[in-house]
Amino acid sequence: MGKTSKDKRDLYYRRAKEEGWRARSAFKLLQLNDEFNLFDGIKNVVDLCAAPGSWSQVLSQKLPEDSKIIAVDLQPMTPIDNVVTLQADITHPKTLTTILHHFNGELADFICSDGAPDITGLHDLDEYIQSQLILSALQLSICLLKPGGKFIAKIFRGKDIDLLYSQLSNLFEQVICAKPKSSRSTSLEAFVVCLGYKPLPGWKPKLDLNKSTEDFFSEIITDKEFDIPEETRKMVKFISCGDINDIDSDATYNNLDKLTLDPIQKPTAPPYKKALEMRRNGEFNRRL
Amino acid sequence: MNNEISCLNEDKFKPVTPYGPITAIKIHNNYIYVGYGSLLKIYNIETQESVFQTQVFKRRKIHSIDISPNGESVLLSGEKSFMVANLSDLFEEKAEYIEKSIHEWIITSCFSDDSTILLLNAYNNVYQINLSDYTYEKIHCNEKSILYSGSINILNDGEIYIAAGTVMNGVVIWNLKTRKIVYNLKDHEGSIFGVKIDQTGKFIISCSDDRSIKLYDFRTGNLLANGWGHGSRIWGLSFFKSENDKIMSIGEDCTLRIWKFDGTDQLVQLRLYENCHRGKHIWSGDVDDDICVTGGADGKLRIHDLNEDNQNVEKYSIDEISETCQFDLMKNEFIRDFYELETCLILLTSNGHLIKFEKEIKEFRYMGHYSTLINFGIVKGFKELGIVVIADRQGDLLVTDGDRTEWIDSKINRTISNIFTYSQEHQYFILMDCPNPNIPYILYKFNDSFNIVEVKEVPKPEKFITISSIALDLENNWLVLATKKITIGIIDLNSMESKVFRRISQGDTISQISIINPSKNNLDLLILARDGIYTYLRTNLSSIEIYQQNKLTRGFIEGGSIQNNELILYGFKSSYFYVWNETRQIEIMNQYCGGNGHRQYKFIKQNNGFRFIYNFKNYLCICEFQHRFKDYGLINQGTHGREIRDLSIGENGLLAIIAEDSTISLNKIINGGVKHYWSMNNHISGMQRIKFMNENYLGSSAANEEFIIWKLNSMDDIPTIYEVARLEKTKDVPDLRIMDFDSIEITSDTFMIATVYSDSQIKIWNYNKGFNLISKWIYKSCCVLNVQFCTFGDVVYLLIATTDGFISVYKLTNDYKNHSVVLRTQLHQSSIKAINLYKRDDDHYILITGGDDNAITVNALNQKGDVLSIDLIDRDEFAASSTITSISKVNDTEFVVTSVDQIVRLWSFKDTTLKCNAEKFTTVADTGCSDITEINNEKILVIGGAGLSLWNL
Ligand SMILES: C[S@@+](CC[C@H](N)C(=O)[O-])C[C@H]1O[C@@H](n2cnc3c(N)ncnc32)[C@H](O)[C@@H]1O
Repeated sequence: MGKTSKDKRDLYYRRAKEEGWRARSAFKLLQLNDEFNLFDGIKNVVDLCAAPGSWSQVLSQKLPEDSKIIAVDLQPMTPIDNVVTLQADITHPKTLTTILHHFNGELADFICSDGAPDITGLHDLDEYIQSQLILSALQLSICLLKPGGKFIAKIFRGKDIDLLYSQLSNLFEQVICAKPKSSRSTSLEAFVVCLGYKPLPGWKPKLDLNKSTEDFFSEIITDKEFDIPEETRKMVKFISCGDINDIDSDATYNNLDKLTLDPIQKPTAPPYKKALEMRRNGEFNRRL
Repeated sequence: MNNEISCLNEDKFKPVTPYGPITAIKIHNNYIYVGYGSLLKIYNIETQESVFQTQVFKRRKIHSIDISPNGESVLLSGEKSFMVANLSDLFEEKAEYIEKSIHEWIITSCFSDDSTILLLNAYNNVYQINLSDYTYEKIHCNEKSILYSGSINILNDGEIYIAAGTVMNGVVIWNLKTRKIVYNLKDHEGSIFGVKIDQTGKFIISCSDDRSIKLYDFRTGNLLANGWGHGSRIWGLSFFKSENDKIMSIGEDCTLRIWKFDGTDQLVQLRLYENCHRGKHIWSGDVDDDICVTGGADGKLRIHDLNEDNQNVEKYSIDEISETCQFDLMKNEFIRDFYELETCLILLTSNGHLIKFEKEIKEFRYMGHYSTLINFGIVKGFKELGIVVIADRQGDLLVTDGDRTEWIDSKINRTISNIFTYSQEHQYFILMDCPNPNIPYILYKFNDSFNIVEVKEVPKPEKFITISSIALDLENNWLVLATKKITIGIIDLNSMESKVFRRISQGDTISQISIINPSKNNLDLLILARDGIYTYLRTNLSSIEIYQQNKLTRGFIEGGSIQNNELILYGFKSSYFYVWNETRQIEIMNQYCGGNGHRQYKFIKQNNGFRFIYNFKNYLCICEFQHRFKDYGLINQGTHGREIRDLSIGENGLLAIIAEDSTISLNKIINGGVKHYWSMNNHISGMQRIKFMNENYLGSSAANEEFIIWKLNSMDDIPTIYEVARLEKTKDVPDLRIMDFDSIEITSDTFMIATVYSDSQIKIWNYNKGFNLISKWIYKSCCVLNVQFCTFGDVVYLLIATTDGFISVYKLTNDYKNHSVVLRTQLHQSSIKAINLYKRDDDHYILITGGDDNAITVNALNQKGDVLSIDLIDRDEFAASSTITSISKVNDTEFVVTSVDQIVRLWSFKDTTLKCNAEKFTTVADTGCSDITEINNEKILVIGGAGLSLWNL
C-alpha cells in the first residue's frame, strides 16, 4: 500500500500519522470502543488479520500491562510492545491450534478480526471468501473465548449477511452491526459486534490439525446433505459509532497543508511486481 | 420478522431481462452452454440463436457446466448449489429443476461417468456422488487450505487428478483414487486463479496473481515455460481440444490470448484479441479447435474465430517482387503507393515503376516506367470502373485498368499538391489541389467511360491550406472540404459561395469526412478526427449543429463508416491496426503492423470482411479478414463491464447510465431489453449522478468537480448526445466530487441548477447556454449526498440530505440569491443515501429517505401559511439488512427500494403506517440504483449494480 494523493487528503489518514498509528483503521477500533466499551476489563485478546498492526497498537496501549495480545496476519508485522505476532493464514487449521497453544489453557476475553481478502470483483466469490475469514475467526472464538466474551469482525454487508447474523445470534447474547464514522459510507464495510458469548449447549468443540473450518462447523449442521438448507435470516440493530462532530470520511476537506510525514506503512511487494518490471523493460511485447 | 426478510409476494415483480457477469461457458457439439447468473442459456453455434433460456438456480450463479459422456444430461454448479438435468427434457421444456446444495463453495464439477458426478469444494474436498440415489463419498488429500480455483481432470487413461489452486500454497495436484498429493508446485506468487491438466497427461498449466502463465511437465512436475503478456490478473486457462500445446487465456484486462508451447522456456503468443469486452474482466471462456467463446462482466457473449485462414496475411518482400516480375528494382527503391481493383493491385514504386499484382494467381507483372512519376505520384482510383488513376507533379493523370495505360492531360500545367476522388451513382469526380492558396481547386467530372464531361474552377475558401478529405453532396450540389484544426468548408457549386466552420472539435487533422444524409438544403455529416474524436453534425450551409461528439480513448481514427446504423471505425494504436465497432463497444479485429508511421496503407471494405494492405519492414503485406460469424460474433448483448453507479430513464424509454468505468451510456429500453447507442468518455472518474433535466437535456456529475450538461437529439431515429456545457473547476482537488444536482426548468433551454459537493458546498446556478453562479454557501463540513428543489406556489425551497443523517431545507428568495434554513432534522443515524421527494398536492410533498443505517422514513412536508414543517408518517429501522441505495416512486403511495443485500422491496404507506408488500431477490450484486418508467401501460423497473436488470411491476 503506497500512499496516494487521496490518502494524503484523508483526515483520518493524517491524524493516524500524527498520532503514530500504523493505519487509519485504528480509529475504527477506537470508535467501536467508544460505543461499546469493548476494552473494559479485558486482558487476553487475539487480533486476527492484524497487519500492519494499528489495532494491536491500540490494544497494547489500552489494555493493562500484563495482558496477553496475539496478533496474526498473512503479512509480516513490525513488532509492537507487549504483542506476540504470528505470520500465518487464519483459515488454516494449524494456525488456530498455534494460537491456542499460546494461551496455554487460558481463555480469551476478546477476539477481533479486521480481515479482508484480495477482492476479485466477482461479488459472490468475494463475499464467500470474506465469510470464510469470519467463520475461521468465529471457530477460534468458539474454542478460545470465555463465556460472556466479545467478538468483533469486519463484514461486507452484501447478500446473505443476514444468514451470518442469524448464525451469530445463536452464539452471542447480542449481535449488532456497527459502522464507525471513520469507515466510508460508500464502502460496504461494517463491523459485526458480538457481545456475551454463550457456548452452544452440548457441543464440546475441539480444534484439530486435520479439521478445516468446514469440518468444524459441519458438526453442528443439521440439514440433510444436498438439501437446500432451511435458511434462517435475521436482521440486527445498526449503530453508527463515533461522535457526530467526528471527521466525515466521505467529505473532502480543503486548505490542507502539505503532508511531509513518512508513509505509515511500508509497501509490500505485490505478486505481480515482476510482471510490472517486465512490461517496463519492454519484455512484454508480443512475439509472432 | 424472520423469513420475510428476503421473499414475500414475489410474483409482484416479474424479472424480464438481466444483464450481468457471465460466469460459465461450455462448448459441446454444436451448442454453447452459458451460465448467465442464475440462468442457463443455450445457443446454437451455427445460427448464433438462443435455443433455451431458463432460471435454474433460485439465487446462486452458475460457475461450472458439464455434459455427461453419453450426452444426455447436463451438470450445473455454482456457489454452493448443483443440479443435474436431462437435456432432452430440458429442450422439451419438461425438465424438473431440482437445486441441490452442499455447505461450501463448489469450485468446479464434472461427470466421471454417466451416473456419477464429482464436485470439488473450496476446502479441497471432492464429493463423489452416485446419481441414482445421491449416496456419496467425500474424498480429500489431507491438504484442506482454501482454494480460489481448481479443476477435476479425467485423463485418457482413466486416472482422475485434482488440480487445486490455493491462496498461499501454490498448486496442489492429487490423485483421486490414491488420495496422494503428486505435486505441490510453488513457482507462482500469490493466489492461483486457474490450473488444468491436459487430457493426455502431458502438461499442467496454471496462472496466478503474478500475471504469468506457467506450463509444467505433468510427468516430472518440472516448469517448462512461462507466458507473460496479460496486463492484470488472469482468470482462466484452457487447452485446445485436440492440440495440447495450444492454450487460451482470459483475464481482467479484457483480452483473450492464444499461446503455443514451442519447446522454449517462453510460451509464444499466437494471437491477441483486445477489448473483446467492455469495462473489466472476462470471467469465463471455452475453446474448441477453431472457435473460442468468452463471457465478460459486461454480460456480453462473444464467439471468436480462431481459424487462421479468416485473418490471413500474405507478405511479399521487395526482392521477391522484383524477382517474380523479372525486373531489377534499384537499391533503396520502395513501394510508394498502391490501389486495389477487383482482380489486381497496382503498385507504384519510388522510382516510377508500375507493377501489377494478379490477385488470383498471386503473381507480379511489370507494367512500365514513367519518368514523371519518379519521386512523386498520387495513386487513387475508382473501383467500380476498374480504373486506377495516378497523378504526377503537374496534375497529369496516368489511367490504367491493369492492362492498358493512358495519360489524361489535365491542362493545368502547374505543380499540384494532392488529388481527391469521389464517386456516386455513375458520376466520378477528381478534385485537384495546388499549394498556392490563391489558385482555385479544379474539379473534374467523368462519365462511365471515364471521359471528362465537366471541368470547374472552385475558389478556395479563406485560409484553406491543405485539405485532407472531401465529400460531394450531389443532392444540393455542395462540395465539402476538410482542413487543419478540424475546420470544414462547404461550397455551393451552383453559386460558388462558401461557408467555413472552424474548430468543430479539438484536434488537428480530419482524417475523413463523409455524408450521412443529404436532403433538400440540409446535410448530415460524419467527421472523423485523427486524434480520436468523431462528430455527427447537421448543416444548412449557414450554420451547423452538432448532434453527437465523442472521443475514442483507444487510438487514432483513420476512417470509418456507418453500417446498419452502427459506427465502425478503424485506425492505429501503438503497433497495431484495428477495426472498432463504436456502437457495440467491441474490437472487431486487430493486425500487428508496426504502427502507422508514415507508411502507406489501404483499407478496403468487402462483401464479407475487409482487406488491409500495408508496407511493413520492406514487405508488402496483404491482410484479408473475413467475418465468419454474424454480428461480429456477438451473441448476447451486454452493458457496462463495471459497476453501474446511477441510471435515469427519460422520454420514450431513453436510458442513461453511468458506471465505474467513468463512461455514460445512452440506451433505449426496447422490447423489454436494452439497446445501446453511445458510450461517452467525457468524464474522468468518480461518477456520481445522472439525471434527465427535461426531454432535451441530461445532466451528469462526478469527481474533479465535473458537472456536464448534455443536449439530446436524434438523427435518423438514433438518439444522439452531445456535451454542450460543463462547469469550470475551482480547485485542483481531484477528490472534490459533485455528489448530486437538481434543476428547475425555466424555459425548455434554460434552467436553475443546484449542485452539492463533497466538501459541504451548495451552489445555485442559472444555466442559459453557459453557467452563471447565483449563490453559494456551505452546509457544515460533511459531505452533501442529495439535493432537490421543491416549490410551494412561488416559493422555492432547496432540500439537502447529508452524511450526518440530517435533512435540511433552505428557503430561497425569488431571485435565488439568498437562502435561509427553515428546517433541519435528523432522520438517520448516518448517511442518507437515497431520497425521493415528490409533490402530493398543492401544499404538501412526500419525502422518502433511505440510510446507511438500513432504515427508511416517509415524511410529509407541509406548508401552512408561511411555515414549512416536516411530519413523520412512519419509519422502519429494519427496512433492509444493509445500506439502502435507491428509492423509486411507483405511484403516490407506493415505492420500490433497493439495498446492497440484493433484495428489492415494494413498500406502501397510508395514514401513519408503512408496509412492505413484496420482496424479491435480484441477481444484481452491489445493487446501487433504480428507476421506474411506464412503456405501453406497463411499469418497468430498472435495477443497476454489478449488472442491470429489467423487471415488470
Ligand atoms: C484491513 S487489513 C487489517 C488492518 C489492521 N486491523 C490494522 O489496524 O492495521 C486486512 C488484513 O487481513 C489480512 N488477511 C487477509 N486474509 C487473511 C488470512 N487468510 N489470514 C490472515 N490474514 C489475512 C491481510 O493480509 C491484511 O493485512
